[in-house]
This record gives sequence, C-alpha cells and structure tokens, in this order.
Amino acid sequence: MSILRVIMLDVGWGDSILIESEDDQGNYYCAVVDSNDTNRNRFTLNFLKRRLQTFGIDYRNHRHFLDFVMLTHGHADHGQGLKAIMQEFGTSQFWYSKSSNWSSMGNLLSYARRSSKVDHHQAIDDGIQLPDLGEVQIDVLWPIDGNAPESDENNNSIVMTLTLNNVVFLLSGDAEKEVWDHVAPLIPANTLFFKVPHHGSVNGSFDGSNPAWLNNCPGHAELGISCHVGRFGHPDQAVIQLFENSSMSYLRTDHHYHLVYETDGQNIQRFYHH
Amino acid sequence: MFDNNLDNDIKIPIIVDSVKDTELCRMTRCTYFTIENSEPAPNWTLRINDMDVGFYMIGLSGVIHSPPGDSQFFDTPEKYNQLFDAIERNGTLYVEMNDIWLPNELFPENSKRLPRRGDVFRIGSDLFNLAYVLKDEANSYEILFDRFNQLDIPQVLVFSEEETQGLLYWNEMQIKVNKGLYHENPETNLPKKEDSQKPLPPLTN
Repeated sequence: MSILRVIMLDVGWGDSILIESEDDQGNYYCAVVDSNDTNRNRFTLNFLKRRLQTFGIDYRNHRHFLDFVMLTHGHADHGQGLKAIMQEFGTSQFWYSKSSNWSSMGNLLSYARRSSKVDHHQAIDDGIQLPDLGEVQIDVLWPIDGNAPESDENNNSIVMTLTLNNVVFLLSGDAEKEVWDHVAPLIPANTLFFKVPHHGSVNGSFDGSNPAWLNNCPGHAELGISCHVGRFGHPDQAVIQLFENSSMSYLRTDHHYHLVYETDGQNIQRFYHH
Repeated sequence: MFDNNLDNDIKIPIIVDSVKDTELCRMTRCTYFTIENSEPAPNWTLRINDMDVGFYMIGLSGVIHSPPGDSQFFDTPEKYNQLFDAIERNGTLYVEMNDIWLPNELFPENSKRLPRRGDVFRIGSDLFNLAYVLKDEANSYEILFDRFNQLDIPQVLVFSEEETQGLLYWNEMQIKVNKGLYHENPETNLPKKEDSQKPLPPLTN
C-alpha cells in the first residue's frame, strides 16, 4: 500500500515540514520543506535522525539521502537550519523560490552550488515538471512561470500540491492574499489537507474582510497551522474564528505540537503528539 | 584557534530579514552569520590568557563579526566569498544564519525610512546579547518589547551602507551564477511541463 505523510513539526515558531512517502514495494522517500532550526535548537535535524533510526534506515549509506529539500521563500524562519540538514543528510534536489532579494538566504544558494551534498538545485515555478516522490506527484501552483519576483517575499512562496491517487495535500508557504487571487481557484476539489498559509496570519487568510482561499477549499479538508505565537500572535484570532464559523477541522502546532497527516490515496488520517 | 584577547567593543553585522510594522507588532527580524560545527573534530587549540590548550571539538557556534584576514567589514562581495571559502573548505565547519528581533524604534532614522530587507547594520555587543537572550526567553511580542524598553543598555545600532551594498552585490552574484548553472542550461535544468520528451532526473542516488 502506498502512503503519503506530511509532518508539521512544532519548532516554536516558523515552518519545519517533513514529507514522507512509501510506495507499494515498501521503498521509503523523504523530503524537507523549510526549517526553522537554530544553532541552539536543531529540532528538525534531530527529529529526522531519530525517526530514521526508528525505521531502521541508515541515511549515512546514501550520499544524497533526502529526495528533495525545499525553501518555500527566502525568509529566515523558513530557511534557517536547511544548510545543516543538507550537510547531514545530503539531498538529490534543492528547490527554492524566485526572489530578486535573497538577503540573508544567499548563503543557501552559495552552499547548494559548492557542496557535494547537493546534487541538483534550481528555482522552480508552475512551469517546471518536478520528479515524483515515489508515487506522489508534485505540482507547483505558484509562482507563475515568467512572472517577475514579487516585492513582498511572502508572495514568492512556493505553493504546491502533493497527489497520491485520489487525494491531494496542499502546502502554501507564507502566501498572502495577492497569491490567493490566482491560486484559490486552482485548489483541487479532492484536497484533504491544506496547510494554512503564513502561520494563520490575517494577511494569509483574508482578502480585506473576505476569506482569501477558504471558499475554494473543500469543507472536508483538514487544516494545519504552524504557529508563530511567540512573536506576532500568529495565528490571528480572526482566522481561528473564520475556521470555527466554517466548521473546518484544524490543528495548530502551539496546541497540538507535531501534526501528522497521512493518506493511502483514498482517505486521510491525522495524528498529533508531544 | 580561539583567541580571547580581542576587542570587547565588537559591533556585529546584522542583516534585516523582515520588518513587521503593524498594530500587533513593531519589530524587525535580523539575521547574522555564525560559524558552526556539529561533528566531532580533533586538533583544535584554545588560546586563553596567552596559553594554548589543545582540545577535541564536539560542537561550536559563534557569531562572525568580520571577514577573514585584516579587513573589518564585509564591504565587497569577495569578502563574503572569502568567508565561505575559508570556513567551509575542509567540510568540518560551515557558515550558518541565525536571527534576533529588535524593536523598530531602535533603528536610526538617518535614512528617514524603516529598515529594509537586505540592509546591514552594526549592532553593539550589549544590545546583541540582550536580543540573543530574549529571542528564546520571551514568548510574546509584548514581553520582548517591554524588556528592550526597560533595560538601560547602550543601544548601538549603526547603518552600514558599504556592507549593505556588498551584500546586495554578493546576493546578485549568487543568483546569477546559479541561474547560469541550471535555469539557463538546457542540459541540466528540470524540464518544462510542455517539454514532456525530456526524461526526469532520478530523485534518489
């Protein structure tokens, strides 16, 4: 049986997401989307090490163990720690968003080019055909091929779908209302998991006083929020109220810690644990 | 080698990553370069009080405040390249980014604008230390903000125009070189969706 699993790690604030898949031959595939590990807390790196030990997988036997690492956009709370993760595990692919101002994240571009731990690296958009992760198809919905990078770095976020058979999981980075004008109509009707954009901020979920994407998101989809509560009060209470009013099912990393969403291509299960 | 006979009045370069200027939050996230080591490594020496002590390193994290050599400032792209070349050459050490938060009010108003993404400032060590400690200890914006305002510390924060330009050029260089390697190279780039003829590269090695 094939499996797709998305694990949103509670790293205190910011995004750290693991993607795992298993094909029907039992082959294991693993990817990392964003990381907010710091020099005082290598949470994502150590979580993955322990998880692989549990599975009996020796990543050191692989030069590029990870199938891909993705930086959704060039903000520190999404990119810190990715270098150490790539250094430790190696990756076949490093994908990143298009940005005209890499600011502090140029470090990652430089590393990807020079390090033998990264086999291939490239900025991606909706025109690029990405390799499958096992039996999981990956499609980018944003950014748009040919568009110039946005001035607001959040809106350079890669928005993508992961599809296993009849089930879609959607990851949204920190995309805000300007992105949802284009992407919301593209949300597949068979989306069963939707990562709430921008840590549940108002700008990520509202277009003025109107929901930015909720009306296009299937009502049965599970919502996951990677919180930022220590800094800006993300998620915003107005966003939580929006989900409550819509009777949407949601979990948040500040209340439920690590969020695990798993599908066999037909149904979805969710878990959370400390 | 670590030498503790260094100037205590070090000003650390920090890079503006994201500016929050809302009713809920008026703070700026800044990143800084650190030197890291996560693998045990032999043959290191600690110079302390003019004496050398050999040690086996099992971990290291330190803030980088100047380029390799005699230069004090990262005012050219080459100095960033030299930093990465020097530290990451043997694969044991690497340069990483970490972050602190500062109230927007602390930033100098000489440019009559909020700090912008990519701006480089030099921050006094006392102010940096406070921001470093508070980053993990304060669990709300209000607490963070109040602590900055309550403590009587030298609030040294200076805009570094030359280093801002140096970083901008270095980043542009990274984008340009990387694009040349993959995006503009049909031999190596990932295929376009409309180009279904080209085989996809294998994901696992």
